[in-house]
Amino acid sequence: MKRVLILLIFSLSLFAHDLHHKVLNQEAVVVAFSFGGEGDFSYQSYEVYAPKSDIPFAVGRSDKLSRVVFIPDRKGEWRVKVMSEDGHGAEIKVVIDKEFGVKEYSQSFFERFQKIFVGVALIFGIFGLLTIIKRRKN
Amino acid sequence: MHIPDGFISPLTYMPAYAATVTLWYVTYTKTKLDSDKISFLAALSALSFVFMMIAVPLPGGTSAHLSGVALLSIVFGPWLGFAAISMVLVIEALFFGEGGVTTLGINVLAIGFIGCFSSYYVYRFLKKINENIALFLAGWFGMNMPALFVAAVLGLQPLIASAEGKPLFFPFDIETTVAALMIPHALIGIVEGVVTVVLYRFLRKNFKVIFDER
Repeated sequence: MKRVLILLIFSLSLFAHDLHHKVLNQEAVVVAFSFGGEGDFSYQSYEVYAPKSDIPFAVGRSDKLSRVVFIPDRKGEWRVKVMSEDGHGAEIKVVIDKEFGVKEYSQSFFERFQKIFVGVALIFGIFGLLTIIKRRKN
Repeated sequence: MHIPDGFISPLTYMPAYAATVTLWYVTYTKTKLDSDKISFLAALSALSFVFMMIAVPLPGGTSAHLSGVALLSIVFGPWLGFAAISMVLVIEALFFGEGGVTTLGINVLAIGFIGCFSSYYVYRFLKKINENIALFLAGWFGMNMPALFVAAVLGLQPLIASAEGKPLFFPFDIETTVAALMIPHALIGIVEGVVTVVLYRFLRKNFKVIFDER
């Protein structure tokens, strides 16, 4: 009886090796990378850092569609660092508010100034046409 | 300063459109553009566009931007300045949603027409006294006169379009709009004035060809 009891007690420790899992439906932050096309930064390494932390919160590789997905557990400025073997990469800052929503994020140079680039190009294009018309008239 | 769609009643923006189109026609008949100067006009128009696209945050949660209106009208004259600023405003409204399409006429009248002509005549009257002061005040007035016009147009909306005492479009009265627009623009006008002086001096020194044939 004593032996059976000992065996039962030790058998309980076998459950510790059974990895449990839960499937949750949670809101995540998705950072999509691209060089202009789709899926061109896929399967590249990334590191996600929580606010005021130097130890990565998550590491992995971007998915087939060049996305890095993480679920923040606290508010503040999160950093997403991506890098490819050929030396391309970026560090994106994502500010998470207390409701775990994205408050703001660092935009790329092009994203920040694309309106200005396009507008200036349009203006020069119009004046270029005007010059051609004027010269033809003359 | 660019008024978006939905803030202004058709009773206001329709006549504004008519006035703007008339002024465009007058500009077409009055102006003659040298093909040599087109590149300079293009560069200053592009600069004005860039100025207008960069909003500077101001205390009180509002923002304002430079315009480059005074510089354009002083260098090329008020009619060409008006034409160039009109083009910039049309591009902003149609391609980038900066300022409404229905309110385009009002924005052109304010920033383009009032801005160019007020700054040009301020410069002309004061340049005999002191050119730097004339340039600075041209910049300041080129920013603040359009702001005053926009404040008046917005503030008059409750009087122009209301139903049973309830404003149908912009709800705030003229005292509120004048204070809300003029205080920030009085401050940003100082920056516009300084920028006008510096850029005018720079152009005068380095691009004499623009000024020689005037």
